[in-house]
This record gives sequence, C-alpha cells and structure tokens, in this order.
Amino acid sequence: MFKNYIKLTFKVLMRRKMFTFINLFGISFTLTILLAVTSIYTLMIVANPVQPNLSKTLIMNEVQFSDKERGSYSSGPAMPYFIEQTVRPLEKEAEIISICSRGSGTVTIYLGDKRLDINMKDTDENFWKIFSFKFLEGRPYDKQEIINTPQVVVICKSIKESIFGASPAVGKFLNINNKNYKVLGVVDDVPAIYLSAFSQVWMPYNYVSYTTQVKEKDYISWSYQVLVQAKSRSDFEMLRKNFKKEVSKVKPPDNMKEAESKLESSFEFTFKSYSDRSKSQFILIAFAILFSFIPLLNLTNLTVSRIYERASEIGVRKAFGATKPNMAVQFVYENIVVTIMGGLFGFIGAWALLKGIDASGLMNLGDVDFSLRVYFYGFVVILIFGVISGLYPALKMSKLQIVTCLKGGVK
Amino acid sequence: MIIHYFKMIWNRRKENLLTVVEISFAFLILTALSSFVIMQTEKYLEPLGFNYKNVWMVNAFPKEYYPLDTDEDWKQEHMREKVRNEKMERLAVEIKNVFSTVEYAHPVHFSTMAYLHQTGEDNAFVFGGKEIRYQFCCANEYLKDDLEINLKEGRWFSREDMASSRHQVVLSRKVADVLFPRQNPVGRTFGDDQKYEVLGVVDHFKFNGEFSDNLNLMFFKDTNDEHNGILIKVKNKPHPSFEGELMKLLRKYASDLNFNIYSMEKMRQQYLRKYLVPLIILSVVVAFLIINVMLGLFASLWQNIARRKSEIGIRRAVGSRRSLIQWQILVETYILTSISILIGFVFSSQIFIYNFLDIPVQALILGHLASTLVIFILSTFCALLPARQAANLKPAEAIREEF
Repeated sequence: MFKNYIKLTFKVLMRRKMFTFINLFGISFTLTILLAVTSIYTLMIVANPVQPNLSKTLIMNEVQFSDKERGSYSSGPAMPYFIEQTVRPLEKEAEIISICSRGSGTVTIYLGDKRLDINMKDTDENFWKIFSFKFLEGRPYDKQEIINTPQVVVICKSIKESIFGASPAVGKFLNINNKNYKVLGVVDDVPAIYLSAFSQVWMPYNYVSYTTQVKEKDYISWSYQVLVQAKSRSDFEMLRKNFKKEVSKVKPPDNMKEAESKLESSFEFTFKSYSDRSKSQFILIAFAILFSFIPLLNLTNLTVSRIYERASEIGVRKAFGATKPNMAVQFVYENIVVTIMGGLFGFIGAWALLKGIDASGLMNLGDVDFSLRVYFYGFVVILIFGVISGLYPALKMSKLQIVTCLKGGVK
Repeated sequence: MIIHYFKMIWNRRKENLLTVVEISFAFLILTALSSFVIMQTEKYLEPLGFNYKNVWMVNAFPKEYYPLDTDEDWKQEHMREKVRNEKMERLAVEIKNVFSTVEYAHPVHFSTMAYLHQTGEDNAFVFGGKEIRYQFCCANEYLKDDLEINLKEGRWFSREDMASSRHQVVLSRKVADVLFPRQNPVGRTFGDDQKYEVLGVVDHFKFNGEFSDNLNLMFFKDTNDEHNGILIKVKNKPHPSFEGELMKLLRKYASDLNFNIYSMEKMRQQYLRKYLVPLIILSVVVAFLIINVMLGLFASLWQNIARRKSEIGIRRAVGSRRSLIQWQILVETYILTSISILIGFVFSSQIFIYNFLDIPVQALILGHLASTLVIFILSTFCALLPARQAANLKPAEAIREEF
C-alpha cells in the first residue's frame, strides 16, 4: 500500500513542477538555516572536537565586589586569591579544575613588512586535560615546566606556518614582546567559536606572581577564568551550592562589602558574552518561530489548494470504501515524503552553507561535522513539518462529499 | 464594486485565511528588519565628527603591575606613572624626528582613542534634580586639530588653559542641549559650586564608531597626565614597513612597556565589518523568507484561478472585458494584502508601546512604510501572471469544464 502511496506522491509531484519546486524550496531553505544554526549552537554549547565534555563544564568568568549602600561596584575576571578561596575547595567533588586567562590577549609580531596579530592565552597544566587538542608535533607543558621553565609555548598550525614555514617548530624559539619562548608543541588551529579554548599561542600562567598574590592575599590580577569539569551534569547543583557557600565566606577588598560570583554552564556563558539582554534572546526565539512558521504555512496552504485539484481521485477512493483515517494517513504520508526530500536538500544546503561561512572568513567554524544530535533535530523538524502540513488538509478533505467530488465541482 | 470584491473574499475566507496569516508573518519580519536597517543607516549617515585617515594609535601598557593596597603603594604608582608619562612625551618627539612621513605625534589619554576605546555613558552627575549619564574624553590642546574635530561654537582648550587649574570643558551638542536648552552654552557654568566652565560645543564626535549614538560627551582637560597612548598622523600612506620600524623604535626607548600599534583606518574597517556582516546575513535570510512567502502567494493565486474558471467564464460570457477581469484579480490580491498588513500591524504596533528594540519612533514609522511598500510591490508581481492567465481564459472552455 505504501508503495502505491509513494508512486502516487511522485506522480502528483511531477504533475505541477512549479508547486513541487516551491514546496521543496521552502522546506529545504528553512531546514538549511535551522540546521546551520543548530550545528553552530551545538559546537558552542554542547560539545566540539576540542571540548568533548563542554556540556559538563562550568565556568567562573566574573567576580563582582560591591558596596550596595554606596552604590559602588567593580567586576571583572577572577584573581588568584579569590580562586584559591572559592574554587579550590571544590577540587575533590569536581573532576578537573583548570585556570586560564579570560579570553585571549593579542600581541603583534612583525615579520619583515608583515604584521601578524597573535592571540595569546595563559593556562595551567590542567587546561590540556580539560581540552583534547590535536597535537601535530610535540606536547603540552606540565606543572614542572610552569614552575621552573615558564618560557615555553604551544602554538597553533597557522602561526607555526607563517613563522617557521613547513619545517618542524618544536625546540625553536619564538620572540614575543622581546622575550624568547621555546616552542614545545604545535596543535591544529582552534576555531574562534570554541570560546574557552580559543587562542593561537598558549603559554604557562605566571606561577610566581600567582602564588605570591595568594600568599599575600592580594586582589591584583583581575585576569583569570576558571573551568570546572564536573563528573556529571547532575553534580552541577551540588557544585554551585558549595561554591556559593565558599564565596559568602570571602573577605572582599577594603572598600567593598560583598563578593559575588557564579559558576555558569556553557549556555549561560555563551549567551551572556554575546548579549547581556534577555529581551534580545526573546526576540531571537520569536524570530526563529516566525521563521519556521512561514514555510509550514506555505506547505499547508499549497496542500490544501491541491485537494481540490485531486477531488476526483479522492472521490473515487472514497467511493470504493477508503475510510477517513485511510485518506488522512495517505495525505500525511505524502507530505512526509515531500518534507524528507526537502530535508535531504536541507542537509546538503546546511553543510554547504557552513563550509561557505568558514571559507569566506565571516566566522571561523573549523571542521563542520553534523553530530547525531543535529541529524536528530533535523529529522524531528522534518516530521513535524510533514505531519502538521498534512493533517489540516486531510481534515478538510475528509469532510468532502463523494458525490460533489466525483462531479469535480468542489467549491 | 469594492464591496463586491470584499464579499468574494469573504465567501472564500477559509481558503484565504492561510494566505493572510502568511503575509502577516512576512510583514512582521520585514518590518522588524527594515526598521532596524533604517535606524542603522540613519546613524551611519550622521557625521562621524573626526578624521580617521592616515591616523595611527600606539597603546602602551606596563609589563608589570604592582599591588595597590597601602597609601605607600599608591604613592609609588604615581611616581611610576609620572616617569611613564615623561617617557611617552619623549617617545612622541622621537617618533616625529625619526620618521619624515609623520605629520604629528602627540601623547594622549586612552579615552580619546577612537574605535579602540568602546564605552557607553558610564558616568553620571546630578543636574537640576535629574541624573545625567555621560562619557568623558580627556583631551589635550592638540586633539581638535589632530582629529579635525568640527567645533561649532566657542573655542578649544588653548595652551594656557592646559596650564591653568580651572575646570573647563567642551561639550557635545547633546549634553549641551540637556544642560542649557535653547541657550548659548559657551561661557556658562554648571556642576558643584558652578565649577565647570563651558568653552565650546562639538556637534558630533562618535568615537565609538559610525553605528553608535551621539553620546552625552564631555571633553575634560587632560591634566592628570595619564598618557598611555600616542596619536600619530602620517602625511601619505606609509611604506608597509612603517609599523614594524615604529615598533622597533618604541621597544628601544621603553623596554619596561609593551606596545600595540593600531591603524585607525584598519580599526574602522574591522568595526564596520563587525556590524555589517551579521546585518547582511540577516538580510539575506529574510530575503529568502520573503521569496518563500511570495512564491506561496503566487502558487495559491494560480491555483485559485484554476478553480474559479467557471466564475470567470461566466463573467467573460456576459461581456466583461479582459482588462476588467485582470483588474479584479489584482484588486482582490490588494485587498487580501491590505488585510494581512492590518493584522500584522496590530502586532507590530506593540513595538511603539513596548519599544524593546530601542529603535527611534521615526525609524519605526519609516520601517513600517517601507515594508508595506515592498509587500505591495511583491504581491503585484505575484498577482500579475495569474491575472493575465484569468483574463486569457476562453469563455467557452471555461464554462464547459463545469459540466
């Protein structure tokens, strides 16, 4: 029976090629955009090749000291003494804790006439355990090196190529701000949308200054970010509770009364750094819904108007005993076939779009592979499209009288 | 006649409902986008207020930071700052001497470094019982000529002003209008004990970039001498090696500082790119969406004609002219579009009440008009072909199908 339905579907599709085109265009275009957005979202929030455990990671990105009576606030990245007081006690409950500089600073290197702006990030040794960078040469630095020989770096492939060319770089020296750093390892380029991992050069954080500040209880270096990888997502609540307890015990600097900070999930962290306002998120979501509604309406509209075109066919089937559910299943089925076809084009389109965005340099995305999750979302959207756009016409159709159908005079 | 058209549309309300909803959605999205684009264009068209061509900025920062807990720490920090400022002065002179292409090199405060120092109105003072938020720039006596700032009224800080301890300010037009509405602000005073004296007024100085608002901006005298930048202008486009050689010179003279060099033109390009790329992506997406809707409208009109053959056939048979039938289809489409836009407007008008996008009313009105116009033009295109098709129906054929 379903084989017949398929045959029928294709016959109907081929009858009016323009309508078919319009349907497929709408579905595949919408799916292209939705899938592209979902994959970028997945890379940033859920998991990416460099950060497979992204969804299990909490980030302490900001500390705020305040004196609410005086109305004075100061906020910024965390400082060593604060980190040791609040995050360090979580070490037992969490899987890994890593300290690195927030964001990445840029430094300029001049190679002859060429200017090279390099992103730099200071990290501890655990940084290399939280992230799984792909090492092309060499290795990361360990704790001993951070303490004893801190003038070492790990660089990314594109920087290595523009400075050292094709030959291996490990063991060579890189001059940054008049200091020579020994190259320990070379990793694959990291796309900028992997917010916490992104940089081009990674080097040990200043261990001496860090420990001194902790010892002397100073709040000087507002520069660090802490990544806390939990054992599982269900630990988040416990970690946050304990963190809050530790923060409440902190003694803020002299002129301030209160200290505040948060452990943010990758979702909270990402959306905060792009827009502070929840209303713009609301607008985005509203836009997305409107956006997927239009092709859905289009598809429904076209299917409805085609019922009348197919009135005689419906009449004959009904006359020979097809029940309402029978007919409804057929229409939903046909629409699902159409949406799946559009969906396939959509997958190809999304893949091409992401490659195109990456190649054009608008946004650095890295290797785009759809994860299973993205396929799943795409498929769910296709099914929803198919079912909804088929149900309404099927409902309308089931009300048709056989006699009027057969006469072909449906109004 | 028009009532008749309405009647026909009403009779087929169920078929038209989906089309109406679809066009309303398209109208909503298009209105949001065009309002936003119009707002950004208006901002862009307002003068920037300074010259960015051939200007370079050097930003210096110390390699090491020291704890600032006790008064003694602060005293030392001020000493270091003083040494640093003197060093920057000497560096500026040196740059002017070494590079023949350099027109001027002046040490400046970070707050005057356009495109680099992106801030909003972070500071506030109370005036006439109201809190006025503002942003400040610490300017030296050269800044007006260096960046070719267009001073509308009064004068800029002179060399004597810089030496005096009087609190003199130059205001942006926006804050001047707030403080002294409908009056000439030059020479007036305000603030605690009326200690601030207004020297001049600048109409535009959008140092955050083209797409930023005109801010409540105050130019203070750069008296605290916190110079962490050098503003450089070159006579004509320098050799590509200029930056590298400049960096070499800077490092030679100040080994305790780190430097970044920025070309203001390049910073501007990056800035524009940051704003335009998302806007272009969004516009392309919306354009496709509208195409989608319009194709849908076209298809359903086309389908309608096929279903209304007998009606049209009868009209033709009793003597209606082709142009009249064509006209009928067009008018019906226009009525349908108008209804959709009205429904869309019921929702979009909420934005006037809850302006959650911070778009000025003028841009909103223009945005509504623009999207209405676009939708009408597009629906004309969609209706033309089906209307032509309807007009070309042969009466005999059309009626025969009925039986």
